[in-house]
Amino acid sequence: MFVFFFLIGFLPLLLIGWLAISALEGRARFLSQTERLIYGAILGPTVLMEVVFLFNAAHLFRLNLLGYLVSILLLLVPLGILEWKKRSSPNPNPNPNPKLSKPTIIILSLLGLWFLLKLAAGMTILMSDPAYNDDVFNNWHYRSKILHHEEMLVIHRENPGVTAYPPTVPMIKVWFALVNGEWNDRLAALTSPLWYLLSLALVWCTLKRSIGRSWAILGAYMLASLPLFLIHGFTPYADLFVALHISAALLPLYAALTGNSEQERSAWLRIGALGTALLPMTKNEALLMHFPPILLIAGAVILWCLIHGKLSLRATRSAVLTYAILVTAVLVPWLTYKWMNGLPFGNAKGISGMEIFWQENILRSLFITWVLEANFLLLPGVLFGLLIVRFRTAFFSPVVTLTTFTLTAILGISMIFLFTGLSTEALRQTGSARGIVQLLPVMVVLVTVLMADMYRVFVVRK
Amino acid sequence: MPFVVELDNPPVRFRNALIVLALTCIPFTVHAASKTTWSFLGGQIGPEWRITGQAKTTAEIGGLRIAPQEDVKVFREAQFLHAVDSVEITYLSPQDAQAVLLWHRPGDPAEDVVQLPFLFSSTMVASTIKIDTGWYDEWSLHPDMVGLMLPKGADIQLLQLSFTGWNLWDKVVGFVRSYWTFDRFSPYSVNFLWGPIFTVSPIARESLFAELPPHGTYANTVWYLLLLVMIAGCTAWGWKSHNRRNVILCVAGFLGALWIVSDLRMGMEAISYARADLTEYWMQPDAEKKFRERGDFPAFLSAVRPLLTDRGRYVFLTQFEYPLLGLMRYHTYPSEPVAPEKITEGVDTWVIYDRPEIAMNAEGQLTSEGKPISLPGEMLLAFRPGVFVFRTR
Repeated sequence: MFVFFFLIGFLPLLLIGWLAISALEGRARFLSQTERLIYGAILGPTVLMEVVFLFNAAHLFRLNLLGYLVSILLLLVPLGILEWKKRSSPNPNPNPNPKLSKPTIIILSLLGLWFLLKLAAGMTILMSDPAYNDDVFNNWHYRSKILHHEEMLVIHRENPGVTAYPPTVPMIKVWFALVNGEWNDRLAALTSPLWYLLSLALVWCTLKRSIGRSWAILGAYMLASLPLFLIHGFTPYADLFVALHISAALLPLYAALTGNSEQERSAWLRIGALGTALLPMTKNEALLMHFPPILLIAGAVILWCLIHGKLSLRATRSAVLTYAILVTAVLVPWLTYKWMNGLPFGNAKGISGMEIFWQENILRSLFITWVLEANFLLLPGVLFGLLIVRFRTAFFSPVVTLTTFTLTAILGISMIFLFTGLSTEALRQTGSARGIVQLLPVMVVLVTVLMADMYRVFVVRK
Repeated sequence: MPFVVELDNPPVRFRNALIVLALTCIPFTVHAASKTTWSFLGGQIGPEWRITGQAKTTAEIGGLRIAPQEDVKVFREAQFLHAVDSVEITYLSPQDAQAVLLWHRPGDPAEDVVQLPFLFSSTMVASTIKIDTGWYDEWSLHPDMVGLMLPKGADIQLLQLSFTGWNLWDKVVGFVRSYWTFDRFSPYSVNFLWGPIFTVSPIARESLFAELPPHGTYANTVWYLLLLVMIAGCTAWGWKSHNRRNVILCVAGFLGALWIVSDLRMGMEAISYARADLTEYWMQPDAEKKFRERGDFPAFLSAVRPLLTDRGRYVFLTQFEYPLLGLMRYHTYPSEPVAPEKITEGVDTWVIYDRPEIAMNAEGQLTSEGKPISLPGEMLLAFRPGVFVFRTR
């Protein structure tokens, strides 16, 4: 029954997201319905929670059914009107895909069956005890339960700890509890499998658009096969939520560079702007570590497009304005809220006053966690190899958006563990692999695009 | 009648090939692991054994009983006719005792004795400790002295010591089976997964994920090395002859095969997690449900929760504060677990989990090691000894 309430509860969030993406897409109508739905399903819930957060922080509405419903209406009405106004715009005719050969169908069926088996295993693990892990019963679900009970944002002022985290994920779970009528662990935990499936779908769509269906299949399989990604698909943590928002902020920039028209490029930049703006509302590290490089990459992409005549001055100004408005609209209230309540920026631990010095044994520990253990199978080695072999594509083509971000993020995570007291997280392996989990969809897209490039250069051209 | 082989008959040729293969393998299979056993059963203790330090020793029918009055060393010279990869100690002990395995490497100065600490867990039935000595760099395959250091106050009955050297077949089988040996789903699984580990020792494999970090080599180390060799080999073979297409396809094929095998291995581990949950938790009757490393705590929690919903606060005592305190706080929210000092503030319910020293006395009070710690009350739920809910009147 709780699955039913989850689906019912998810519909308005999806609708908000779908309408928001459609609005940002404008009249270009170049996205496929699947893309619109996927980006909508990723960003819709966060958009709604931002509004709910603003109302609650301003003491206008409580975190109850009324507060959520008013927020939903406030978003649905203007977005609905916008959609209605441009509903006559035609959808693009999707390019017909060639039929799959029989052996391909057999291989895909086997892979699909294997995927379903793993999915069933994951659901069994999750449903056995959704609150099994420390961060669930001490943070994500615990905070959700408190918000649901208190109907307002709760902060421990003396020792903020996890209450300094952005409240988006707990507020999403509160919404499902409100739809269900009471708190339900298993219902609240269903967000993780949803994020897992959305990650696969996003990688599929991105690759299908840029390098075709066959490579999209390979990329989706690669992501689905990564063991720690699977575990996070069935653990109610928020790292996949961060991963989705990083992807929704970054992948549109890559798409903008490969876009066919100025209209398309502008629309991708608007979608990327929304993803970037919402990124700080996922987890604290997203604000400190992922948001700045993505914003810089966005600036570089816009500048490059302007210089190379891919965007007119007017379109450039519009893109910059979109980023500025959306980022300001989300970031200013959140930072003000943090500042007013004295909330730190680190994850449960403050970052001010941290001493910076070289930490022994961390490099070895990171190498073991990232490369030798089975967390990511052979992905790190393959990525490293491809970056060398396909250096020109990785650094001198639209792929550079993904390469730059991936390397910057890995370098940033490494520096934190190598030079600060957070090194214990790497030694005890409590945080180092999860940092990479947040990058996996982007890394898989990067690896698949480089593989396709290598195939094109060395195999097809022969 | 002579044995005639019709070489032009494929089925017969295949059958004969199998026979030849089987015959070739016989030396591997019949050559079992080499084992040297020093038994103390029946009171047999040879003169080669020496003891330094004060200890009460008794040669009994059931083995050598040693009760040290100070830290003692029990050792002897050794001349193994085979390499030694592991040591097994069979013993009885009424209490836990931290001991040390001693050995001397040939050629080292006499005073350089290597020490490996291990624990004699309390047991009243003969148990065997298996030590994968081959894992340690300091181990010698042919030590010339072996012994034990036992702590003061211990009371150990040694039944026998065994020294095993694995043959090639054991090692190959151990190597293959270790790859398909799975970890259990644990609290750390959300942070990292050890993944497949190669080890040649059957003893190391038995306790692969029980003793952490696992004793072995990460499979990825082997795969990356093989990939590097493959890339180097293929490149040398085809790059200069402009056969790059084949080189790329060859490496890609090998990489793909490794990836699929790794995916199968880790996918099956995930399935084994789910199967363990199904068989140990979901399919068991309530009284026998065991959940991962938390045992019957989830079952206890389910039984306790209804008793706490109308209580704002309750005392929670356990010997495993982490993670159980957090779990109680989460699952019983908005009721809140507090320390026993709060009973003066009207907290009347006590939830006790795994504190065997806490019980109810004849006056109806809770006692800890005999001392009353609560007002009189009644038992609301007696889950098992040391696990209950109590409420004061």
